[in-house]
Amino acid sequence: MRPLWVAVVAGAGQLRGILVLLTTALVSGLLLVAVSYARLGGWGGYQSTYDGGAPLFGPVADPGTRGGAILGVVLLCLPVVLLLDQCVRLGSAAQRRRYEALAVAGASRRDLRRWGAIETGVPAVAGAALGVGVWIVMRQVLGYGLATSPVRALVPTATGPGWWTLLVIVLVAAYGVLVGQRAAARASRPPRAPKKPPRPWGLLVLGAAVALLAPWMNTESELPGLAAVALVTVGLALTTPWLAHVMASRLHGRTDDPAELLATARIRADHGAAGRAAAAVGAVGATSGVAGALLVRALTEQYVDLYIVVPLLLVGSLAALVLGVITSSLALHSIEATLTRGREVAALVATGVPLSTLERAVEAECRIVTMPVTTGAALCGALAITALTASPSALVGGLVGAAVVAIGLRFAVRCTARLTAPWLHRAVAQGSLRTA
Amino acid sequence: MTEHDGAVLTGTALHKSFGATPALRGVDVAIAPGEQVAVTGPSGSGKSTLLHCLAGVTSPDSGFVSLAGHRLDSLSEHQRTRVRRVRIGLVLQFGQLVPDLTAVENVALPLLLEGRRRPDAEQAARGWLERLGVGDRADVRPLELSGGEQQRVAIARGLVTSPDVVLADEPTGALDTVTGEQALQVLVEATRETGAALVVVTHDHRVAAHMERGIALRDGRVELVREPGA
Repeated sequence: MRPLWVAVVAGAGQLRGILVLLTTALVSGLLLVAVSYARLGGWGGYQSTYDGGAPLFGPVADPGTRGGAILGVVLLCLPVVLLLDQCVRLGSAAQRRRYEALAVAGASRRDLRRWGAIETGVPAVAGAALGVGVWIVMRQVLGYGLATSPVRALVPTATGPGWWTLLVIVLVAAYGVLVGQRAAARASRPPRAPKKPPRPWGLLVLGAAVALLAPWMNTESELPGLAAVALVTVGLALTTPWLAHVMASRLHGRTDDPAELLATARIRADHGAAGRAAAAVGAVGATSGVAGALLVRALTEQYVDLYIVVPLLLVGSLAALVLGVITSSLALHSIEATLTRGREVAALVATGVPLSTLERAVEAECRIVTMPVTTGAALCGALAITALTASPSALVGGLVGAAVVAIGLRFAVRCTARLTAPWLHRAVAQGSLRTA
Repeated sequence: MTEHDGAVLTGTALHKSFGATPALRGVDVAIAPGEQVAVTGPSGSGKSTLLHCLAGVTSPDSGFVSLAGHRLDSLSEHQRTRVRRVRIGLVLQFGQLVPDLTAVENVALPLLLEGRRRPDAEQAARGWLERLGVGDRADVRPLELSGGEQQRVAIARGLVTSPDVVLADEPTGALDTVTGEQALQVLVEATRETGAALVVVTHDHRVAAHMERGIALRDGRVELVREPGA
């Protein structure tokens, strides 16, 4: 007889387990890279190599910019964590039915939360441990592999995460367990009335960030800049659900398009997912605006400094990757919501709503909030750099960056909507209309 | 003259199987304009499958369905969808309204798909909700409505495009006796007012007794037809 935990994990579905494993492995691997940056030492001055390791990428080797590189890698984990959150929601309709059956069989809500923790915790523990393998691969490919290139090693070869590995694995696994518990708590609750509209408390954090940092703007220290990024990240994360709700409500009140009506209604009812995605793509937008402005400014100078250009190109490439991850997670959320309400969606199609309208609604749900937030954030980033450098070329670069990220987002939304369309078609299968 | 002459909706020699399990085995039905028909039978007799075939939601394996003389199988998917939206009103067991939309938005949706402006569509939808006694609940979402209210909203959604025929699949199945009776009365009276034919699939003989004619199915075949006045 197989152990209970194996049965629990198998019951949660293979796809969900694999996705949890992959996302936790990636988060764990990235955090191990961040730790290996922090353990480089030599904070007193620039060193291109450490203890005989491969020559390092400039911004990592330079202790003055290394803090930013560490923060960048940690921020890179956020969209993957967002995807993990979304993956855990996959199959939530089946999970709800499973938990209802278990509750009938006598399981308490506490038992169900424990059950959920095992469902996600086991693949999360495995994924967190697999993160060591991801880190080794990254060190081979992005460390030794790039050592002789003009970029130099992106992952240190002289230092590893050391005993911090254990802490990273425990932290990532614990997060996986927590996410599983939360999903189980959600699934074991009866469907509730729509959530209350969110409040704009995040604006206070953003205001506080500006108020606290303004006096430090002229100092040489890197700390205010990093603190600004951290505070703005928290402020955006808290503000965007409110922003998503406001934007969706305004469009909902005046649209004649059935797809937009359905999409805005979904966002209003579940503003958290759209808000989180908007915060993440907003960060990508701001990064792209800044990177575009700095890149064009660097290229229009008389010389091309690889120390500046290469990191900017790297940031741009990562931004594109992150954009894909975020839109995928939002499309997954939309599809999951559709599958959860298969009966209602099948009824919509049966009563004459074309499938193409539902496909457009999924696309609109991914686009309505993220597009203006991303473009706006990119323009803000570009304007900030233009103001700081007083360079017209920076403004041109920033505008190019904003345009590129807007086109990229549109493309990513279109692609993810196409990729997830088969799940939507399955949701509206006639079987969902069966009577009880 | 055949029995199908003048019928608004007909199903001819309908066969449908799900895997090795036959659901319909050569069913013939004809629904006259304005007629009210009950389709009864035990679980698994093919009632819902027949309704889904008549609505154009499911294609029969063989045989065909005609609406006002036009065969549904000759239409494109796009055209069939439009027929379901405009000429057929579908009312399902649990109402199955979009939970994120208000009652009035749920009812207005088919009109918006027809290209009507939002204010016009919502005005028409509010009119129907008023007629069906849930006008004061127009701006409430389905989760905040009772089962009976949800079913009235679903009936309004089925009637808002003034269809030729309304097909109802166990419309009272999820309601208590009193609420179910009220919902059925609303459905019967509303279709009578608009002149739409009504086909109700039910396993409840009290519901069937409200209809002018009855068709009893068993094992995918028509077992008995109760004519008006019988």
